[in-house]
Amino acid sequence: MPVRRTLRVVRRHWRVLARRTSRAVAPARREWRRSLQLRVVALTLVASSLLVGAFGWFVAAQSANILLNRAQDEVYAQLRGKVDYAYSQLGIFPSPYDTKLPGTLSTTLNYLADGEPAENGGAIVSMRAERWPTLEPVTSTGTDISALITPDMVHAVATEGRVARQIRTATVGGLTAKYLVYGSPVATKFGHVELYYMVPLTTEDRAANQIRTMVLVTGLALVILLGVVAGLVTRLVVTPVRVAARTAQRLSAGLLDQRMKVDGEDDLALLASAFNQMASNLQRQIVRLEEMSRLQRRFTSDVSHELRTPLTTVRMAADLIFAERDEFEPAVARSAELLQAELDRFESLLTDLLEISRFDAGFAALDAEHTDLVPIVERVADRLAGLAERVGVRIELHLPDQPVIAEVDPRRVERVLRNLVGNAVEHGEHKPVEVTMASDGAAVAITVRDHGVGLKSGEELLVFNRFWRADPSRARQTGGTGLGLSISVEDARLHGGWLEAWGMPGEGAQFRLTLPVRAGDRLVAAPLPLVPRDRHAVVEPEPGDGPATLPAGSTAAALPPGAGDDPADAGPADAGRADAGPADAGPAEAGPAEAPAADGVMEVRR
Amino acid sequence: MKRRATFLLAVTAAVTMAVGGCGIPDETPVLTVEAGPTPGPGTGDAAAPPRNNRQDTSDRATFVKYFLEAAAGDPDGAVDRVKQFLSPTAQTSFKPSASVTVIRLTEEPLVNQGSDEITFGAQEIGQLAHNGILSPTTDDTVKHYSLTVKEVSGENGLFVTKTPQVMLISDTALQQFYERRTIYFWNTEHTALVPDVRYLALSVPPEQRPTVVLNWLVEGPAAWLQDVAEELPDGTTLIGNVPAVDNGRLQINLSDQAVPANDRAALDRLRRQLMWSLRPDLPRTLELKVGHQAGGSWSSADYLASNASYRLSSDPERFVLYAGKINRLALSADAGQPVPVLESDANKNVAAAAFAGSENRTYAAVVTGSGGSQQLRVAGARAGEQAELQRVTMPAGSIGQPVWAVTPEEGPEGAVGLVTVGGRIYGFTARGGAAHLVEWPGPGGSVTAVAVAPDARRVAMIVSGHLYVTTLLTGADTPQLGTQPVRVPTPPMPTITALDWSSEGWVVVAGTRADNKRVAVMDTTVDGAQQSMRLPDLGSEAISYLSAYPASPTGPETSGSVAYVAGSRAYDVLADPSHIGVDDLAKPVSDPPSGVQPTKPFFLR
Repeated sequence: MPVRRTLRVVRRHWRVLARRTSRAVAPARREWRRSLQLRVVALTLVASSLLVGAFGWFVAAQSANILLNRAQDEVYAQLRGKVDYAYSQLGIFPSPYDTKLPGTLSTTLNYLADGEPAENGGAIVSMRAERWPTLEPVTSTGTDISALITPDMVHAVATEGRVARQIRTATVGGLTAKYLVYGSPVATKFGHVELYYMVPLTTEDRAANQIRTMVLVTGLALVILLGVVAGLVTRLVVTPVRVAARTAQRLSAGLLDQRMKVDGEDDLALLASAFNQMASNLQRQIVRLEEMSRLQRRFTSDVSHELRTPLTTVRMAADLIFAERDEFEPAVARSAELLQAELDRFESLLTDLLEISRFDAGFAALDAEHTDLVPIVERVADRLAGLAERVGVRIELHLPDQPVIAEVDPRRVERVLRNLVGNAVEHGEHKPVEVTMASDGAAVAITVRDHGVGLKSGEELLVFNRFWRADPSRARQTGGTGLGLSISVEDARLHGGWLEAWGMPGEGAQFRLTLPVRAGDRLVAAPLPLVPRDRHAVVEPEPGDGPATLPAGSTAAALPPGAGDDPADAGPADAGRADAGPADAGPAEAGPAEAPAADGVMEVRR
Repeated sequence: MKRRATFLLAVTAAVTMAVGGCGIPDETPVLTVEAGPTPGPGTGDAAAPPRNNRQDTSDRATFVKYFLEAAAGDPDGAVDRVKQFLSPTAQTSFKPSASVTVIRLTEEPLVNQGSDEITFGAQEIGQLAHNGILSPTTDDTVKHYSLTVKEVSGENGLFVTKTPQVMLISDTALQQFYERRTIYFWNTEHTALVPDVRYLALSVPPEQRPTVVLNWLVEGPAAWLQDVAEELPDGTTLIGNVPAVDNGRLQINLSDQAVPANDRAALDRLRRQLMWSLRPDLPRTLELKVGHQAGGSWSSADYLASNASYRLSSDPERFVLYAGKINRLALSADAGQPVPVLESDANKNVAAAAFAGSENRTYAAVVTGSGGSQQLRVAGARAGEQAELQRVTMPAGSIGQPVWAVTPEEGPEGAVGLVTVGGRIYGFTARGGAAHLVEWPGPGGSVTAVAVAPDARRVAMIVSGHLYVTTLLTGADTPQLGTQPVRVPTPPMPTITALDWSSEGWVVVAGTRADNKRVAVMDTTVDGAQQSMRLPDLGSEAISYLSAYPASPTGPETSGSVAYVAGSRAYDVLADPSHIGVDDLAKPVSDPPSGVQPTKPFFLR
């Protein structure tokens, strides 16, 4: 149990640590992802460090080896000379107890040490006879050298009679140095004594260190130089690319006269000029299209206005005829009624066209005030109760008990709801229409659910198009203009809200209006799912048939002012929304819907 | 930027670590380079005589004999060896001088039953110093030594509990434990080597003998030779030991001072000196290093000529006086040749004569006349030529046997003659003229005979019947005798009557034996340490004249060419005396007058 607990604690700490680390390195990771220059420089540094490091290691190791080998050869040659001399001197003693032997040992040692620097740090010669304890060991410097001659060495030389060497670091006479210790038996007539020759490797060590330092410094300088060169070269390439990117961003932000500077005749200059040419072509096309669009809108508006005056006259005449219809023949009376009805349609069509052209012209203004939405919904239901009764559809309201106060334009909201509920009643197929409202404090959502023929795949986007009909051959019963949902979308967008549709053939459709509680707030989630609750299980795994998220208008409203100028920040902003979005919305809308287009082009992205 | 800095730091650390691991290591295990040399076979010291220790005997007489051997051998351990014979208490009080006293027992040690004290009488022969020099003792009286030999409780064997504060060895121990070695020094004129006799302990292993000899050479010649023998240059030392002979090669390393820079002659002299001194140990090649420079290596035997003794012919020219004329003997070299130097009409009325030859000159000294009208005439001539004899003026008196000492000078000055006149020595040259008195610096009075060693730098003489050796300096206007004459005791012959050099280290003397009063001929070393009777009993007729042709140092120790005159007859010393008769003359004498015998045989030196 304690193990498991400990493991749990460890795991928790590990997680905390990992989180902190990832948080700490997040800026670095971001920088890494964003900067090509950093990546190139870093990779160059790593690669050149490895290369230079390996090469430097090789050079330094080889140099140290050469130095050491030279020292070893030299010392060994000297040792042989010394052993030969000692052999010649000691070879005349047939007995280890010869009275002259100790004297000869020390004179021999003096001779052997003659020429060696006597001060500290010089070579040391020592002679000993392990097998003959009566022979005192003699050492040229008289210092204690037990640290230099290890028992292993003594064993190899004295017991096994081999010439051996070893490197030892020891403090002799107050001086710490590396010593190359050579030991050799010296044959005598009575066995052998041992000669040890200890040479400090101070010079070699210093040389090796100098080489190492030199290699290190050179290598570092080389690596840094390579890094700088890589940085400069990358900068040479990256700077125009960055300029191009910035220019492209500005272009996409609408600054169509932005151009790149063309320097020289190289590939980058080619890129810049091609880029500039592309920008010019785009600008020309966009300007032409804008002009055409403007002319079209102007034309619609003008036509609407121009039609209103004759329509008013025709209306007055038609009203007169309609009022007098009872006096006409039934066929004429019927014509008068038809005239009256078509004039109503014509008038509302004109009204809608004017509304649309107001939106297009950007004259639509939000007249927001704190409003309780519940009465609005009830009022819409009341108004349509007649129609509903006529087509045999029951309108069911699922409203909160307490008032839902939001900062909205009640006229526009009512228009949207009337449109939605009217459509639902019209396509209700005698089945009940459910209107549901919910609020979570930040947003208010109202869904209108019918159980009619539903929408085919892809139609949930098309329904918001102007003059779009699901079945062009179908008779128009309510006499709708075909602009209602278009206007509703514009209304929702004006509020900074969303209007979305979902539908399945044979299963009906559901529309959801989501509005922020405070005008200008950014929507992150809707309190009600777009896909009806009774459909969740079926829809979820089928992205192709899935509901369309239509944040078209809402997206523009959701964006902070001027945010469109810097697409670099769009990513995290979207990510934030994506994270918060699916909290209680259906998974189908989990994918962030983006519609960067300022001209209202709608697009669904999963 | 922060990331970049971290990265750089990491790279630096990695590089540092990688490079840091490739210097000279701090420690390594023991690595075998190769198998070590195998020890050479021990030569053993077969030459060393067996040594008798304290516990080897319980017989007191033998014990004393062993005790008198203890100090013999390597001088470094002499005191310790003697102390092994001493009881612990005697050991602590035993503080002898460094030299060893050599004694000749005159009687067997007297062991008395019931007494621990053992006494014996002995003559002191001399002091053997650590450098092998035996300095003869002039006092030849018999001294009595007494030792207390007894058992010590708790220990095995006998101990000496009381002993004189000297290290004693008997003369037999000297013969048994030592080898007589002659080392050589150049004479001051660098013409020949002067021998110097030393005693080398046989216990010194053969490999160490060259080292010992070299150290003796470095220490310089014996005191009495110092004014004729040249020391090695000041500061000369032997560097290290002389290594054992390797591949027929003996390597000697002397310090720089041994030879003056670029002095090839000095180097050549040095190597000749070394080769002669090391001759018994000399292998095929001698290699000499002076300082750290190679001096050279020599294999030939040309060095032998540097010793005047060696230059002597193996077949000497012999002469004899017959009827007042100098005659050659038949059994000698150049027997058919005329007598050298002397013109034939000058060869008459001769009472004594001496010939000496240098490389290209021959010198003659002739004593003519008899009684009070004796004259000394001398001449020097090129080899094979004759010269007129010149008279040497000197005080009147009985003129003894003249001798020549060949000097390095050229021409008539090339030899110095010595002659005794009335008990004093006079020096003369080959040119004649006045003889100069040569002062005898030693004790005693009458010099009756003088003999010059082959090296011409040492003389032996009989002063008041005793044998003396000293040096002869010929460099000055008049020859001089060395100031430190050494009396060589000849105990078997308290008084000697005639002498000559038997070899470079031996003198042959004639005299009357102390023990049986018989006349005898005896060889003695120049230090008196060893004496051997050549002809122990020649009756009672005294030997008035003795002449010898010294033996070569490469041959036997003593000469085989010795002749003497006893009474009026001359004899050759062979295994027995062999009379030299008229028949032995080179030119046969027809009808020899009776009663006239060849006399005073002599050699061309």
